Order: sequence, then C-alpha cells, then structure tokens
Amino acid sequence: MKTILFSHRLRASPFQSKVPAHGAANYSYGIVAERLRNCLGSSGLAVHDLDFPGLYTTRLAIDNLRHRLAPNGRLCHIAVKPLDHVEIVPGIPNILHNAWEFDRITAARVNSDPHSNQIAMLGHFERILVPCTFQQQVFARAGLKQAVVIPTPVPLLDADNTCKSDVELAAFDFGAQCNIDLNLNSLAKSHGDRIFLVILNPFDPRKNFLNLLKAAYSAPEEMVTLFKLTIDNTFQTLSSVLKRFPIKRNSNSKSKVYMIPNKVSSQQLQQLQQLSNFILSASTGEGQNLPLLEAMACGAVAVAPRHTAMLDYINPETACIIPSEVVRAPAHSSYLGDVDLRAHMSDDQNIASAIAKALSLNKEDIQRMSNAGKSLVESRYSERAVASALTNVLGSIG
Amino acid sequence: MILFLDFEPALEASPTGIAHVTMGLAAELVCRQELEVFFFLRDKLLPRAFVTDYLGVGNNRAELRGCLDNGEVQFASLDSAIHKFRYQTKVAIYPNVKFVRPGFDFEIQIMHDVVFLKYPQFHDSSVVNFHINHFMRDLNSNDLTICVSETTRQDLIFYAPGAEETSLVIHPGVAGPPHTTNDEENVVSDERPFFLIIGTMEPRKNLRLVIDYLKENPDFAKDSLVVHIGRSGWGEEVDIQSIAGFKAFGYVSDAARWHLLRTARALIFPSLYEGFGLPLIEAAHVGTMSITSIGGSLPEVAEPTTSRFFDPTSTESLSRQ
Repeated sequence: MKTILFSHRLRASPFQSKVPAHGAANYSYGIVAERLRNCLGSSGLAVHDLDFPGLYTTRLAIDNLRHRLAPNGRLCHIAVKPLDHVEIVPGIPNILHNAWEFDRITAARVNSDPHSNQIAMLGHFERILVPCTFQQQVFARAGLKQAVVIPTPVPLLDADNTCKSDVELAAFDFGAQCNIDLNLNSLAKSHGDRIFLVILNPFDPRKNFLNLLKAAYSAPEEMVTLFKLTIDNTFQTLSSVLKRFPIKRNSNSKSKVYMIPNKVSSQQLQQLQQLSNFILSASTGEGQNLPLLEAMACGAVAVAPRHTAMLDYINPETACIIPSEVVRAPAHSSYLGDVDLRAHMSDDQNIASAIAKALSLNKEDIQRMSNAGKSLVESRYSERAVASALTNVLGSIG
Repeated sequence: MILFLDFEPALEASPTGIAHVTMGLAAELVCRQELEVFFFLRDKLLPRAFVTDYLGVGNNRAELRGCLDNGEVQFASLDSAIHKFRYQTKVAIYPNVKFVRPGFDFEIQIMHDVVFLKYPQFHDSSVVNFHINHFMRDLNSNDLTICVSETTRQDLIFYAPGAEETSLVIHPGVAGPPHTTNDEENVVSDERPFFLIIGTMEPRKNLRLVIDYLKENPDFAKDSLVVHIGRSGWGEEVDIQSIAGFKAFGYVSDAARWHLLRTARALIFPSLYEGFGLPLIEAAHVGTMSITSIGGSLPEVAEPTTSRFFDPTSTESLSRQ
C-alpha cells in the first residue's frame, strides 16, 4: 500500500516578490493538480498534502513522516508544480508532473539560476508524468528515459448538466463593441449548427489569439465564435486585450464574435462546450490542451492543428485539421534559455480554410467525428483511464 | 602556504551563525603559530591587531567597527600581499559570499545553506537575486566547498550536479568556551521556568508555530514561559506582546545568551529549515535539552540523547513533545 505525499502549492519563485496564486481564471496549474489528486484518491490511495517536501532531508525526518502517515506502507512523493518550485524528499520515490510543448529541451541555464537547467532538475525524479507521447519522445531524446505518459484527466459529459434553463453570461460583442448578456439558449436557436468555441488566454503567445480572431471575425460565413478568455479579469481587463489586438473586419463578413472574459462555473463551462458545434484551437504548441479535449468530450468537433500534444488525438477521424508550419518559437520562450526553440504556426488563412471545411461538413460527418472524439477522450483521458495508468506507474516503482 | 581569511562576515552588527563561524575560525587561526595567516576585508588587509582585538572577549566590537568606518584603521593592500607572496601557494577561505577574487591559488568557500534557492519565499527578492547571482560563479571558482552539514551538501548537489567532487562536510563547533555567567546576565525577570528560542525573527524560523501552540494552550503560561532572543528580521508582523507566556528580548549579548542557555528548561528550535543550527550544539554544550524541528539539518546536528523532535508544520507534533 502506497501513501502519496502530494505537493502542489506554489511558493514565490526567485524573481517574484509575491507568492503566485493558482489562477482566478478558468484553467491553471491548480486545475491539473486538483484533477490528478482526485485521480489518486479514486484509485484508493491515501493522499496527504505536503507544503514543504524538501524540509525532510534526514533519515530521522523521513522515518518520522513514514511513522505518522504510512506506518504499514510505503511513501511516494508526487509534485505537480513548475520546475522552479520543485523539491524532492530524499530516500523515497519522487515523481513529477511536467508539461512541455517544444521539440527539444536543453540544459541551458539563465541568470545563474540553477532551476533553469531543466534537464538537471528533471533528472532528480524517478518518474516524470508527461501528458502526451510527443513530450515523452522529446524527453527520451534528451536522456530523460523516465518520462511516462499520464495525461491530466478530462471530465466526461455530465448528462444531467444540459442547458435546460436560460443561461446568461456577461459577454462583449466584438462587432458592436458593447457589453451584452449572452443568452445561450437563444444563441443555440439562432445559430445551432454554426457555433465555434475558443478557450484561451489571449496574452499567451502560444495560443495564437490574433490569427484566430482575424479568421473568425473576417469569415464570410454566417457563424458565431465564442472566445472564452481564461484571464484573471481583475488585472487584465478585456479592454486591454482589445487595445493590444486591433482587428479590421472584411466588409463581406457575416460572422459574429463574442468574448466572455469572466470566470465561469465548471457547470457553465460545460454548458458552453455542449452548446458549441466546434472547438477551435490554433496553438503553436501544447503539452496537452485541456480545453480542446474537454470540449471534444462534450461532443464538439475539433478544428485544430496536428502537432505536439495534439498528435495523440487530432486526426482526420476526429477533427478538421488546421495546416501549420514550423517557425521560430514566439519571443517569450527565450526565458527558457533556448532561443532556437521551434513552434508550429498557423496563420489566419490556414485557420479560415479549416473553418470553411468544418462548415461544409454534413450532419452525418459531424456526428461521426463528434462520436469518434468523445470515444477517444473517454478511452484515454477519463478519470478512470488515467487512474488505471497511474496505478500501473506507481506499481512499477519500488 | 599563506592563508587568507575573508573577515567581512565577522563584522556583522548583530552576529548570528555565519559571523560566529567566521569569528571561531579566525580565533583558531590566530592561535596557530605555524601558519602564516592574513585577514582581509574586500580589497584590504586588516591589521592583525585589529582582528585579535575584535575577537577578544569583552571588547567593544561596535566601537571597533566604528573605527573601520571612520578610517581610523590603517589597511594594507590585498593586491600587494598577493604580489609579495607570488611564489608561494596562497589559499583563501571565504566563510560566505565571495566579494573579491584577486588571484588566490586555492579557494575554499563555506556553504551554510542554499535556502535562497530552496525556499526563496522566506527572503526579500533582492536578497534572493543577490545570492543566486553569486551562487554558480562562486561555486565554479571554488577548489573546495565546505558544507556545514550533509543536508547542505545534498542541497548543493541537487542544484549543482557535479559538486560532489569538490565538496565535503565539516560541522561547525561551538564558537569559544562559554565563560562563567552570573545573575547580572539574566534578562528574564520572571520566576517561571522557561523554554528558550534563539534566532532572528523571520519566516523561516517558524516562530508562528510556537505562537499558535501558545494560543491553543493558554494553560501553558500559568507555570511556564517561552523566551525569545534574537534580532528582529522581516516577514509577517506578529503582535508578540499580546501572547500570554511569550517574552521577546531582542538581540542580547553573548554572555546573556549563554546564561539563558544554561538556565532554560529546554531550547526550542522550531525552524522550518536550517543548513546547520548552531544553538543546538550550544545547548548541548551546556547540558540543556533541545526540542527541535526535524526540518533540514537539525536532526543531523541535534544530540539524540538530549533532544526531542517534532514536525515544524504541525502544532500537534510540537505539543506531543
């Protein structure tokens, strides 16, 4: 019997003065930690949160922990946090959850900070739980053979959570440039087979917000695109997003774009995902892409590129594929110490062509792709599937 | 061989661990007639008389530091000394961060902890950045890194793989024998037996745990007291005056500290993390038992026969001791 010491809370990193909070917005590292923790619990393992795993450095301290938390079993430490926050508990197996979306990882060090030597830091862990096959291969090439694919679980469609009542969300009508209350039922009645959903942080260059917005806003077809922004609206307001990304609309465009900037409940999020016919993503690289998988679990057909994490689940059976080409990664990645990192870029024309293809699908094709997507998510990403894989990993270590 | 000791850490206004280690090392070196030893402060050589005065028991160190600041001390140039001994092996010992590296043949650095990397939240970000900027540069220029505990050495190797080849562990000792103390040194005017805490008031020292314990156990104050000595530091402001059974006396003289150590019922060491933990061996030296956290090096340093241990994240664990 194993007892899991679970460390996930962040501390102030060396170049920050405040302890960062797990996101007030939808999607953050906290979500990943919460889901993996639930997964461990549902596997029947005893899970204890540990804020300072690295303080237990001596035999006496570890024996004390073992005596207190696992008198008849074994201890195992699982960390779900960024590399510059990790610590290990010596003398017991240490496992790290880590997501990486580039095609190589190096030992480059930045600002003399040893945390930025990622290969050295990752090398301290007996197993590295990575969310996709692409990352496992990248790590293996870098000598990190201990990476195993354990994705973050994706909640399956809750049959009771259908959009039965009128749900209104505060939104911004991008065409009319005004705030509105967006009624999801009315939207479903008016555009029931042409609703695209995008879930992203517009400030994250990997998410390719500008090209998505251009493609959606200038589309000649009658369609609605809902941009659910995963920003903490206290600090980064919608207006600052719009100032940063001025968009000119084609005169012949008939599309509508609404932005939903506030945090919504998980129930409302699932209703948004159910309401949408298509989930649109044009990321330049992903460790897993939870929003895409979650919407697929709700039956939305993916319109997305096929690279990095998406190689595991985006294919012609499940998705309309957005073409992409390899380019130098956006500038923000240079903090990782490797300025030659590559990304997979889709421009607005690439995205527009995939949108047009999605809108040309007949009902049978859409249903077939929707079912294929749901089935794939259930078989590989459901809590049950992930818990089973995780149990195997834990069983494989001493 | 000519030895050069960086004396700067000893000049701390309210000396704590690193200053005591430096002074202890300097006191040992000045007694060794067989060694040729120089003491430096940045790019200057300190007069030996200044060092011996500074180390002398009962001397006014604040006044001596004032002489340094006022330009009343005649320095020689460190570079001149390096040049003078250019045909001999010059060994430098840095008890802390390296501020100058003028061309020694062999550099030894004492590593006390790497808490600025491991728990940066305990310090101001400017302090953390300062140490991170020095860390790899200092380490890469060390011929030998002396870690004050195995815990510190393992932490060092965690962040700098390869450091196992050039590092070893030497535990610090008690810095000088405690002289006989008398009642004049007693700062505690309270009849209740007391538990002593020594350390700067800062988050890593985890005073919060003891205060939480006192709040949860108001009966403790009826017949016992917790006495804290140490300079005020940084972090969360705690209204310690309002805590029943808790008295803080700030930074006290060496004599007063030794008196309190001798007369305390036990030393409580609640730190979340330590690279060594000098008060533990000081308590053991005068036969006072310790109730100590299991954080970091403390179980490695504490004398097992006279120590009891608790988890520093749990008041329940503390109360069991």
